[in-house]
Order: sequence, then structure tokens, then C-alpha cells
Amino acid sequence: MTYSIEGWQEPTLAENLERAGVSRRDFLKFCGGLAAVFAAGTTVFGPVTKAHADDPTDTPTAGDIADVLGGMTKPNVVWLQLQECTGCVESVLRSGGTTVEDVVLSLLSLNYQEVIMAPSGEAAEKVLYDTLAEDHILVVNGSVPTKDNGIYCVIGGKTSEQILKDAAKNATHILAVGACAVWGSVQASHPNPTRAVGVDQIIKNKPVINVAGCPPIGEVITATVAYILTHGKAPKTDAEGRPLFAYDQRIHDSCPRRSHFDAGQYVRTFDDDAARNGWCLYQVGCKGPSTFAACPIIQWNMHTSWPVGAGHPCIGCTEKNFFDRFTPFYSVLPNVPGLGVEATATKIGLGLVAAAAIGATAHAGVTAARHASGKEREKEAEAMAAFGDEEGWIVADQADQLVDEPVDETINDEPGKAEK
Amino acid sequence: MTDQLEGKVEPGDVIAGAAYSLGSMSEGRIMALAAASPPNSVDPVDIALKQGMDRGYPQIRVPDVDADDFDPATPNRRYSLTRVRAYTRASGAVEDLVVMRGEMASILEKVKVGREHGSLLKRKSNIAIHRGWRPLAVATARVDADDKLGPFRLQGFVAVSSNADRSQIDEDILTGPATWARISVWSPSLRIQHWANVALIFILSCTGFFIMEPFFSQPAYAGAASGFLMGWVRLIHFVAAFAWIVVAAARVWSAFTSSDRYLRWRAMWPLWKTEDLKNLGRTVLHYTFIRTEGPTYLGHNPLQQLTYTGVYGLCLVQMLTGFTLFALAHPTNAFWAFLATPVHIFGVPAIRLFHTIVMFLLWGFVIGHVYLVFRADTVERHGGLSAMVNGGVWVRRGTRPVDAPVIE
Repeated sequence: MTYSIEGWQEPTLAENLERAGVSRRDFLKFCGGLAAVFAAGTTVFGPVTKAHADDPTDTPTAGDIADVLGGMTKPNVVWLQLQECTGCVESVLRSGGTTVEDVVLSLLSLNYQEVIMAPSGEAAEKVLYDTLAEDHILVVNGSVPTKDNGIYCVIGGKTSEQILKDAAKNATHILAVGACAVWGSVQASHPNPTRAVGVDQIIKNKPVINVAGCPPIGEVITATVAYILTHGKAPKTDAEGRPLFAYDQRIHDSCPRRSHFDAGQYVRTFDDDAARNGWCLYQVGCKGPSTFAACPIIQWNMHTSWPVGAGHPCIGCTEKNFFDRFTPFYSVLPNVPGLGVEATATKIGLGLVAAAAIGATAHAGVTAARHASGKEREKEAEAMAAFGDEEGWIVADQADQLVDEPVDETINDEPGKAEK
Repeated sequence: MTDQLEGKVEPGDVIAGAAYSLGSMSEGRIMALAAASPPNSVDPVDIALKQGMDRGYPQIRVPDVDADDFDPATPNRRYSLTRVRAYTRASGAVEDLVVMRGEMASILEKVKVGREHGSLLKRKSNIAIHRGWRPLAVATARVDADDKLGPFRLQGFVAVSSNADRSQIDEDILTGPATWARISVWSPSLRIQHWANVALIFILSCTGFFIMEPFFSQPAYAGAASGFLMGWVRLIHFVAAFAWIVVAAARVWSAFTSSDRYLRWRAMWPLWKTEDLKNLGRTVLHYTFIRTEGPTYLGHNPLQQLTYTGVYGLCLVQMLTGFTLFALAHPTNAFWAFLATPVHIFGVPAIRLFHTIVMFLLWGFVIGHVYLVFRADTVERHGGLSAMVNGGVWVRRGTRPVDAPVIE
């Protein structure tokens, strides 16, 4: 499929799409996909359109979404790229072909998008600040370095923190797209030399929708923007600000390799038969059980593949601090900090058990030695007496000690007189 | 023979039991030689041995002994010497023998016994002693034609006992002032919970370790069913985990409602008085071999109790982290989403790590716990091990435990 994107020239989105070569049929398919992503038809995420806000059971169809989305006049979308690698944009644009998602996203975000916009220099800055003066949707890629007054990321003479604050001022919705914008990603990992933080660390007076991932799936980015446009409000999010429609399930729970997990069939090394058979990657460190994302379902590059599908364990890139918390990527459990690089939980745990066993043995040895040395002998003898045994009758071992014992008083007879 | 057993026993109060041979002479002959005494002897032991011969070995004749040939035991020499003339050995040889008969320890002074026989003898006679018998050792020496006495050789022993003594033992244990009393300490509910914990922690550890480290798996051949190994392991883990939580809930319930003060919440914190803290220090010093005696407690000593309270804390962490991990499968349910809250603070891998480390800490506790239980039962002889089965500990009468009135 090839579409020609020529910018926003017609009044509505539907007309612009038609101009770009997107047929009504393809657009409806796209909207049907969105409806599925938003879980329309269920009440899980609430009513889908403004028109249906009061009746969660009367959920809209793909046609309803197409009507609302297609009827949109040009929205103002500002797309900032701060301290980042452009991987998130690549994730959307370089998907193996131009998709309806690309066209929609490109059309929507044309006001200011450093990678794909035509203007540059002063002209680009003017477009940005003209747009920022009006209501707009703000999409942010990249983290904000805060150390040394934020000089580690300066664009057009302004620090990224300043740009972000300016851009957030009139924003109706703020989307932090990608791990950098969500929490800082690799540059915010230990030791975080530029003290990079995510968008919601800077913008605290407005809700920030975190489209997490490194990078997030292009469809999820588009769907989040489309959700705001069609619903006029932010989607429901989880405790970390991620839209629930895409981040409500663990990778593990919809993984195509899940049956191998349940069967106990694991890849042990990346070159074994199990790997060739496509078994579960849990034991080579897959973080699917710890990671909430829609990767196994939506996948990448027009549903071509995704990391686990390609035989690599999930590294948990949609989770906060995954470089610090989810490493080593190829181990089931993280290492124990402060005890050296080789200190895995199993080693430490078994060492602890061994130490307990050695400690108990040593303690038992000392106890035995104390006993043998006779310190407790007295107590011992007393115990025997309590059961009616007299010392004279304790044999063998202690016989030598008994020679000089005073004679039992119960023996009254004089020596040699018993029978006389 | 003088009475070495009891000064005031009457004839008939003493009975002779089984004889034990070291191998070179039959039991019957050992008992016969032990019974060899002047016919007019009124010593209860002599009478008991002769009666024992009549009862046990009627076919063996007890040798006749002249009063002059019998040298009874004295307080300074706790064995008698008897000359048996013209004794017919099993081989048919006729010879004179001198029989040494008496207290085991004294005879062992005079007689050489090889290590092999010695340990056998020690074991056998200790068994007899513990059953309330006393071993009357029997050694013999040959007298040659020149009337010269050869070396004494230990032949075995005859178990003798005083009837009066035997009943006295039972009475002593039950009522005697210097003996032991059984005190019921642990309620059935606590014991059931304890063993439920043992079983569930064992099951949870085995399955949990496998979930952490699935170290074995079945290879799947073409066409073979792949099974549901991890599925079953996880199911068992989850079922056991919920059962464990029920046990924990019962324990918490009893901590606040039980009338048994050993179960109460207050008992978990032996830190209420300065005396408690001092006893905690004393117990630590006792266990590190610095103090000879530690404070006596009927229930748990402060160190022990604080350890158990700490283990309750560990178990609580284990249940909460377990709940958190379990909750990940149900993020849209408000209850589970709430239980999964720690994930947003620590991240899932850290929760899994805590869950694993607590498991290893519990293993370490189990080793120390089992060791100290066996040690205490051996050293203090209070029956602590069986107490977790039948609920009772044994305490010396007159003991003044810190946590109970004097045991009478």
C-alpha cells in the first residue's frame, strides 16, 4: 500500500485521508481495529464516545469511531523530542510500509514534529510557539535532564525543561511516549549522570498519559492519540499512568509460548533444541511474567514479529526503571545488590542455608564437648537419681570414679558378719 | 551375702530376673553359680537367686556351698567370694571354682574385660538399669590342684531387682519430691497449626523453588503429549499458599481471642519488663556458652519467642509478596490491583527476589530450629520434641520457671 501524505489540506480528517489515497474501506478497518483495542462492546473501559458517555452498554461500532474521527477538523498536536534517540518515531514510521496509522498520525501531528516537518530553524520555532499559544495536544518523546540547570539538552537556545514547561502550559492532554518520556529510560538508570527524569516529574499539575515502552508499539501510540480525539478525554490508566486498554495484561498472559511455560518446557541456552522448538524463554530471563504490554497481540512492523517471537526474552521495557530493576536480562531473578556481581539469590540463599547448618553443627560440637568435659556431669547424675538409680549402679564408663565413693548408708552390716 | 540393694528389704522383696552371658558359660550356669550360697542363708538376694533357679532352670542343680567357703560382700568390698568345690563343667571336667559376685562397678575393677565384651556388657547392663533392674555381675576363677587361684574371668550378670523398689520408682515419678512433673503447655490448636505450617512450608518451598528455577523438565517428542508440569506445580503452590493464609488467619485470630496465655499477642513480645530483657541477655550468653545456666522457661524463652515472632513477620512478608505476584494476573480487579501496589514501588523482579530470599531465610530458620529442639531435648531433658506432638513438657519438681509458678 502506498499513500501520499500531503499535509492537512481539506477541512476534515476523512477528506484528507481520501486525498492521501486511503479508501473508506481501509479507514473502517483501521477504526474497527481501534474499537477492538479500546475494548469497545465491553464495559471494561467505559463508554467509548462522547455521545455515549451516559450509557456504557450502548457502545459504538467501528462506524461510530470512523464518523467521529473522520469528521475531525485539524487538531493542534505538538510533538516534542527531548533527550531521546528517535527510536519511538522510528517505531511508528519504519514499520515496513505506510499504514493507515502512519497517515493518521502524520496528518495529526504535522504542526511541529522535528523529524518529519518541513520547516527548520527560526521558522520551526515560530510554528511551535504559535501552536503553543492555542489549545493543543502535547506528545513528548525523551527525558528531561535536570542536572546543571538542564544544559545537557538544549534546543533552540532553551533547555528541554523550559520547552516542556512552555509546551505544557496550554496543553489539553499530555502524552509521554516512550520509556524516556515516561521515566527517563537508559539515561536515567544508575548512575543517571544528567539526572534525567520523565515528563510527569516536571509537569505535576496536569495528568500525563504514559505510553510506555522502549519503544512503544506504533499502533498503541496512534490509538492513544485517537482515543483522546474520539473521546475528548484521557483513557483510563493504571497506577503508573499507562492506558489500560494497551497495558492491562502481562505479556506472559497472552504469550504464544505460554503453553510451553505451563508444560514445563524451557529454553536453557540459546542454541539448544528447546530454543529451536520455540519453547518458553522464562529460564533465560524472559521478563514477560513481570511486564504489562500488548506486544504479543499487536506486535511490530505490521504484525511481522516481536522480541519473544524472534526468540529473545522480553526485557520488560514498558516497566519503570527496567534497566535497573529487570537486569540481568538473562537471569530469572535480579542479583542481590551490594554483594558482588555474581551474587544471585540462589547462591546467597544456599550459602545462608549452609551457614545455618554449619552453625548448628558447630554449636552441637561445643555442646557435646562441654558435656564430655564433665561440667554437666553433676546434673546428669541427679537426673538418673530422679529415676531411682543410684550412682553405684552406673557402670562401665564411670566405674573408675566410684572406687572412692562413700559407702551407701543403707548397708548396715559390719564386714564379714552377715551370716554369723 | 549382705544386702547391697536395700538395707531393710524382707525376703521375697527381691526377685531375680534374666541372666546375661558374655558367651563362655550358659545363662543357666551363670545364675546357678551366682545362687551358690550356704543352705541356711537368709539373705534376700541368695533366696531370690535360688527361687529364680527353681523357676527358670529347674534342671540345673545349684552347687552346695559350705558356710566356711562363703565370704560375703562388705561395704568396702562390694562383692562376695564363694568357693564351689568339685563343680562339673559342661565339658565334663570337674574342678574347683571361686565365684565373684556383686556390684558391677566393683567387679569391673578386679576383672579385665576386652573392649568387645566391655561395650556389650555396658549396653546390656545399662538397659537393665534403665528398666529398674541392677546387674549382679558374676566372675569365676579356676583353682588348680595346688590350691592356687587363677585369674578371674567375667561370665555375665544376673538382673536382680527389689519389688519394693520397682513400685517405688513409679511412685517417685508421679509424686516424689525430687522427680519430674509433666506440664501441659501447648494447646492442640497450636500443635495442629505448627504441623500444618511444617507441611505447607515444605510444599510451598519445593514448588516455589521449582517456579524460581525449573531445573528439570520433560523433553517433548514428536506426537507426545507435553504435559502440564509447571501448571500443576503452580496450582499446588497457589492452593498451599491459600491454605497457609487460612492457618495464618487462625493464628492471628487465636492471638487475640484465645484464653491460653501462651497463644496471646502479648506472649509474642517478651519485652514488657526489664527482667525480660535481662533474661534475653542471659539466654544469649547461655547459648554462646558464656553462662553455664540460662533462665528456665516453661514455654519459650525470650530469645526463642522473639525468633518465632520474627518468623511470623517473615511469613507475613512471604504472604504479602506472594499475594502481590499472584495479583499480577488480575489487574482489572480492584482487590487484586490494590494487592499489586508494591509492584509500582519496587518493580516485579524485586518482589520476586524478596519472595525468594524469605524462602531461604525460612530454610535457615528450620535448620536452626530443628537443631535447637533436638539439642534442648538432649541437654535439658524436658521432652520438648514430643511436646509439639502431645503438648506436655517434663519439668523437675521444685523448678521455678520464669513464666510459671513453682512446679510442685
